[in-house]
Amino acid sequence: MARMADAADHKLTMPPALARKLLVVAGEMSGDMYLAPLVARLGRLMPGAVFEGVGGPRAREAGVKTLYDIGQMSSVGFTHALQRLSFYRGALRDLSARLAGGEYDGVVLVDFPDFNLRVAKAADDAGVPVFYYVCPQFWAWRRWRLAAVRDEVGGDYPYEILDRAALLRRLPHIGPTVIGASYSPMDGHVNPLKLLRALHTACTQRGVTLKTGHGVQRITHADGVFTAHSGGQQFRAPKLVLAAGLGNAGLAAQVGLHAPVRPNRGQLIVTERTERILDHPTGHIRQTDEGGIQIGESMEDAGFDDSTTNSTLAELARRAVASFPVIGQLNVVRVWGALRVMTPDGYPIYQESKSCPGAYVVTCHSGVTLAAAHAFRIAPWINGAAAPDELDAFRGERFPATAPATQALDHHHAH
Amino acid sequence: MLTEPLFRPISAGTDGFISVEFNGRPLTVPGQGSVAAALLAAGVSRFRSTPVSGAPRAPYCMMGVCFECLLEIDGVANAQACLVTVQPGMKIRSQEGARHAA
Repeated sequence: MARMADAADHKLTMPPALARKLLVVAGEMSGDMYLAPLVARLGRLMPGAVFEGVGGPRAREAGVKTLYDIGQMSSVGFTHALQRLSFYRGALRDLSARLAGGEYDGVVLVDFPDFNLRVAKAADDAGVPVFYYVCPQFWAWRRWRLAAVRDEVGGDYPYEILDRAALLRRLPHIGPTVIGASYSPMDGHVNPLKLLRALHTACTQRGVTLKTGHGVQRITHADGVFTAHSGGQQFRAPKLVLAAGLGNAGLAAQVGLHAPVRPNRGQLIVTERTERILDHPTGHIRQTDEGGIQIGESMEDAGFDDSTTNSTLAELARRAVASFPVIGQLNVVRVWGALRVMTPDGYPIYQESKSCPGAYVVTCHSGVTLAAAHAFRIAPWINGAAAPDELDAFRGERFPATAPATQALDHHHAH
Repeated sequence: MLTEPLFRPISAGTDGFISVEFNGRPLTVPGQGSVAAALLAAGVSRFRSTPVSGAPRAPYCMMGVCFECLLEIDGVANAQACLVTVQPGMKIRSQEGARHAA
């Protein structure tokens, strides 16, 4: 799976209202594309402000007085790396002197970290506020995050950090503002409709009777037998598995388990089927084997309201088109909202009851993502095999008995 | 490909017929109503093939819900023919499998 990053990932704090003259530095064509609209907007917010520094034709058009052109900053035109280095040093000395001399009220840096982090240092030394747009933090953060995951699983977790050029080779349709992505062959896409059908088929073949539309109001336990009370009907068995989604919150307590799950809404957009344009799923945009493109990444606390909102759908669409402009040509065939079954930390609960042995709780927010783990590790355990080693980490007692404070969940849970 | 029309207009007569292009050939169709209705009246029964199995498809709901009547109309792929008003000279093609998108 590729996880995309674009400029919208980075919040820009407004420069002080009194700023009159800003140093701006974009070192590459891609930076020029970010800088130009930024300067145009800042110019409207701060009438009379002066922008100068390093940029390209777009930045000049937006009103930047370029002391150095991006053409000079790039390698083109230099026969020796040493020449380029010497040019960088000269430019850096010049800008540092201007900063030290108090010429600027603020600095806006766009990407280009090898050079810009040095400008940032010079600005900091001179006490000039720095605003880093398209900052290198994305790469630093993502590298750190993936390294942490790798260490947690004992080192067997291959991944790559892709710059824009490398990403283009895997996903040729990325938009001009996409700066890179991380990639791991450990991630993939499962068609949820086909998985659901496969699970139903497997159940039917094993003699399972599915009773749809039977809400369970109450569970009792006596003489080693559980009774699920559903309307006027009762269902009895010596083992009970609670996989009732958001219903687990109320049912678990009746058999001595703790499953404080809450609804978390995600909204989705599905386009018409189209020829293959995405060979890899991304964190929030993927093309199914049948050709439809599924877009969804919102995480909202909306109680049990599973409706859609135009503002969220518009933002999903905007980001999808920014990531892959070709999606903008496609018709949308469906939008909908759905409720994730979310624990306070976003991770599953798997546990057998101590006070009512034979009762199990199984809850997670994506039975699609975890289908393999459920089939190969959880099911044998419920069927009497030894508990998998990692199971203790998923006990419900890790959450306080009282209503937990809502934790901020990151987008690793936005499936 | 063209067969006897499955549908006949309630009012007889040749008033209001227009010419469109269907898969590169001229086709005379009733000049009012949707592209889907016009082609059905002219005897077209195969509008598209599905992206999944390649099976032939024709209009079903005629009200914008089922997406079975998809055609390429004046260069726009996957157009819902039941929701587009027929116009003289329209260039219409059957939608073969998944649309192009690049």
